[in-house]
Amino acid sequence: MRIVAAFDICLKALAIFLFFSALGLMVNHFSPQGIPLIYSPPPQTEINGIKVPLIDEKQASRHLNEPGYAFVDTRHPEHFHEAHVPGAVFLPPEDVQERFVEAQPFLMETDTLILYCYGPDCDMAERVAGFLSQMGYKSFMIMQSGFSAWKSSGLPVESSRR
Amino acid sequence: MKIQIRHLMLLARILIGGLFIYASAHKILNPADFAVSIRNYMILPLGWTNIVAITLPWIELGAGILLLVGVLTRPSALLITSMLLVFLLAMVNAYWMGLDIECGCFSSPGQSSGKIGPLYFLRDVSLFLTSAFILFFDKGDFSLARR
Repeated sequence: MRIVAAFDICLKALAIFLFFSALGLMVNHFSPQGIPLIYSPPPQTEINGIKVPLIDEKQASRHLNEPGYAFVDTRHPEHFHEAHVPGAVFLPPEDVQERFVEAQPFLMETDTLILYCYGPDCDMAERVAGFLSQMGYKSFMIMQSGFSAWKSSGLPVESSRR
Repeated sequence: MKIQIRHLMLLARILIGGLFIYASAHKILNPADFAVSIRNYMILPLGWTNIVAITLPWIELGAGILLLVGVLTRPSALLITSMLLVFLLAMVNAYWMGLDIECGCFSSPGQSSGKIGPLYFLRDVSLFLTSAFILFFDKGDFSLARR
């Protein structure tokens, strides 16, 4: 009799498990916060021996205002001043050494730096990451989809100078 | 009024049910963050972590609500007891491996829910015993439905 009762409890527990798992899968499917069912590690590149994940604007936006993360805008000055990721530090590859003096106080060596340029076709973020790795920074991510994807996704932007 | 076992049972159900509902809320709203927490434990194959992050908080929520209102109380307690056991083993494993990670129990990595340590084991064991108490001794008092 006890075995039957125990079996009954297990069966009902399994039913609850399956019902709420299915509910979770359904909500995830329709939710804007939804994630892929199967996780695949982000593609990455290697810069001066450091593995750098290549992320998209949605993944990058999760680190907006998060302590320990800093955005670095590597585009041309006029485009940076027009609009950029809120709080992003301006550091273009052209005169990176001069600009780095201004940018350095905003970039902690322990931070993970999220660099971006226009989109997947520009290499400015990689070039600046290469320079920063020589300056002692060790943790980078590159928002490969670029600022154009950030803006068209409706993510927040600001146009203040830094 | 004399405190009886059924009053303790109600208290245990409110505690465990309420805690699981609370714990599930942040994970349901931020599945990507919870998936990162799961990956930090380095137990599951990476490919599985998202599906666990999607489903587990809903099981926590469902079992928590059922426990609180007293519907399918013992099956819910079985689920919660099993989850607490798995969480405990995962935390002990992470501690033993020397992983310096947040527990991810009630919030995201980066937010302060604290690094895993012996106090976390103690908390989990206490909850495990409370949940097991419901599983083995619930008689269906103060419940919307009998067992």
